[in-house]
Amino acid sequence: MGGSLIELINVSKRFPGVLALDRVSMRIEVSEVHALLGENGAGKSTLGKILFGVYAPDEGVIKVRGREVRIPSPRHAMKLGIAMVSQRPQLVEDLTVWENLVLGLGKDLRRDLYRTIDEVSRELGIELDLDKPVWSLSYTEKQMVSLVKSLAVNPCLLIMDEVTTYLPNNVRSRLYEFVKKFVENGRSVLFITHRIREALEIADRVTVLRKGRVVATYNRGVDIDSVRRAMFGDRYWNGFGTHEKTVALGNMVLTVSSLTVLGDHGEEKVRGVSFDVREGEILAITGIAGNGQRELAEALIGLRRVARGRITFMGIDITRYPPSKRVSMGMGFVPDDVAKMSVSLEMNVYENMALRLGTTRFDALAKVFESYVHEIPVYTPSPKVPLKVLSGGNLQKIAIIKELASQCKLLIACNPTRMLDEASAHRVRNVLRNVAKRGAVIVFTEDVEEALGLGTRIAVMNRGTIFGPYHREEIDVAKIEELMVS
Amino acid sequence: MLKIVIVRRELGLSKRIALSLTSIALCLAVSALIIYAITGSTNVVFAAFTSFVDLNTLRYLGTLTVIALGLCIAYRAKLWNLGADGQLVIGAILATWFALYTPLCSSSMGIVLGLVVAALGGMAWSFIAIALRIWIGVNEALATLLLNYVAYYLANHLVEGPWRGVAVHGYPETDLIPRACWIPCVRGYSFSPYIVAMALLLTVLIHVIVKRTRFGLAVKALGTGEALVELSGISAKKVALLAFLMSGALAGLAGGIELFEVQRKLILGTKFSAGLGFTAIIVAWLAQLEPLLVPLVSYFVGALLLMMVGIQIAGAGVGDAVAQVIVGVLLVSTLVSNFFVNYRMKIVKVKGVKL
Ligand SMILES: Nc1ncnc2c1ncn2[C@@H]1O[C@H](COP(=O)(O)OP(=O)(O)O)[C@@H](O)[C@H]1O
Ligand SMILES: [Mg+2]
Repeated sequence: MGGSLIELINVSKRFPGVLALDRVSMRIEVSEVHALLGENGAGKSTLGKILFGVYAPDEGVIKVRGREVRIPSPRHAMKLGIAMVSQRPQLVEDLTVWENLVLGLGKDLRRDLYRTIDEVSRELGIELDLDKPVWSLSYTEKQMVSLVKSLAVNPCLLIMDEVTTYLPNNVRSRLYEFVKKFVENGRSVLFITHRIREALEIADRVTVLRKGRVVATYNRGVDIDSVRRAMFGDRYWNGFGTHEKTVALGNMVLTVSSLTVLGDHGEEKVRGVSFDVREGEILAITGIAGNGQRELAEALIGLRRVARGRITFMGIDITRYPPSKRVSMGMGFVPDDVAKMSVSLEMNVYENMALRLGTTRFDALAKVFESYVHEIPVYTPSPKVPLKVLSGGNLQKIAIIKELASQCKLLIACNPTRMLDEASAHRVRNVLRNVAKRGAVIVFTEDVEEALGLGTRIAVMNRGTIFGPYHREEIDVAKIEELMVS
Repeated sequence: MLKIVIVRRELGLSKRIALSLTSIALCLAVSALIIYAITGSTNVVFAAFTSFVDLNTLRYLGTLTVIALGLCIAYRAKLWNLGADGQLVIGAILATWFALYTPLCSSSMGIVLGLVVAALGGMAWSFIAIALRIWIGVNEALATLLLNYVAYYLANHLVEGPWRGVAVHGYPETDLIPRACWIPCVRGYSFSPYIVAMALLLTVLIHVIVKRTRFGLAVKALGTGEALVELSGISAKKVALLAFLMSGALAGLAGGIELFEVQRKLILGTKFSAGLGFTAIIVAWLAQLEPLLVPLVSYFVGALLLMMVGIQIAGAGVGDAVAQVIVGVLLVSTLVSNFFVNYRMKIVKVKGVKL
């Protein structure tokens, strides 16, 4: 490694109500993958955005190659060789891929664009059709377009903010390889994540941020427990929690019989799936993303039409009911993408709660919210700011709290912990267990260990059909993984 | 090929207000210059601008506020009701029928009842468009726009045929409605304090509905997406229906007001509405869909409409058309500058290339 590329000295940033960064000092060396690790709301994105010129720091000094700089805008950042990719691709939906790529890109840089596109396509194993409008792309493709777009300016520092959250596993591991290769010839990556394993796998060095402060910096080879302790402090935790030994099964909550559901392009995504769920149960449905989980979940809550088959909830045939009716009957839904379907980014916490719970007595809602924040900590400057200023993990928690507060009888949650740091994920799993005490839970998760740790029964989805559900004792990781790819 | 991309600005509230005020001031200055250039007389300029302190502006404040409040609701839900003008005309037609062909006006609550009938008319008219949207998927902007012409035609047909007045010497208009149906104006002015009070009351009411009720939140949520509303346990169809019908009802109500307070007879459709239903669209957007801002903006826009009259009276020889152009320019430039306060435009060169 050859000297420091970026240096931050005592950088602070305050938002109304929170000190997002508190005298942060850190260095990013040339040719290193530097992971920035921290729980949800630790200030990681804020730091990334300061380097990318989105926010100006209140205090502190930023040096690039030893020279003190000011970065008043992303444009300046790019001139300095700093580019950023974030969790949500920032693209113009109505323009085509190519148009998005050249938007704001200088002529001189366009020549290299094809090479970059080629290179990224090859590394990630995804073809890009440059003439397609961006709205028609999958999330992974969009993310790839933003990656190419950031690479197009030939950055010496690439900031990647939680970019892997929604990526399927195979793309994710190819992305890791890409990142490692990227830094080989004198460039660096600041890899922002809340996943410890990911940080340890990919990074040469790891800086841990907690409540806006740098608590530690580690070199490659550090053990996971020390990192955990640094990240969460006393709330340090390990494992997926335990089940109560016996589950008392109650009444039948949901029966699904021979359900067939079509995908966006009319193909059969769910094929003749049957299962049922009783009070007291958590049914975990796992599998590799794209095997029909999303379509099944949407059909269960009514967002997607059922082609054939039947869904019965509390003894009533709801196959043709709209989502609103199912929700008022006692179903709750936490979608994959909460920002699109579960919360309004323009409204504050209380307004979002009011929308779901039906009362606009904001003082009462505040009390309800407080009582849940106790179980699942949410970091907001104030519950009265619009949700768009909150970090993704906190949105996810609010979406979950809303459903909990609705006292629903059946909670269907899609990857509810994906955006969450370990401690928060642990809390959420506990809360889901509590829901199962008075009702039932169906959780879709791509994380096999989570499925095993959480589910009282586990089912595996593969190409639209379902294996199981199996009781926890009947199945283990190896068997699940076998079913996932068979 | 060139493409235009529109990006939202993130400006602080104080900066936005400052920019808005600056742009309005600039527009007024420019329009003063235009008026001067056309008429060559400072008197006309002066006369034109007295409309801002003329109480007659309150007549427009009443009508525009009522319509624009409804549009705020629909637009918050991203439902594009462009048919307020037609809904107003239908409201007026029904109010005319009520006044001329039923004896109910002379009852104690006659006028109120007449206004309710007008509101129901506007509501029914808007129902056609929203029903087409919800159940068949027809674009509501297009449907409402076309229904305007149907409404004008209906009014024209009535005043030229079956409802043509006996005392109007062949003009295409009805007889005056009975005095019992007149909403009395302040002596010497053309506005009624009752209507102004009602408009302000409605403003508060709509504000509360929009900000403090679950329905109001659902309307806003519908603007984000149907799924959000549905997953909150509220029928998105019902919210869309209700929001749209409210906007139709308020436009219809405005038609009743125009009839009872100002026109007092039905005339040709486009003449009756005088484009107020379209002007109200501008009002709603200038108010940034905030109900509490609607009366203020209505006053401002109303003053511009009154200015048109002022220019014609003061500047002999300035025709109706010139006055309209001036006010039109003013309105458009206010709207455009308001747009640029909130958005940035980027022009990008693109070419379609395949790999
Ligand atoms: N634009 C903003 N306005 C107000 N508060 C903000 C804004 N952006 C972030 N915050 C707050 O700053 C803190 C850190 O947020 P963030 O950097 O997004 O965390 P992370 O990326 O580590 O999850 C959070 O409490 C968040 O609510
Ligand atoms: Mg973040």
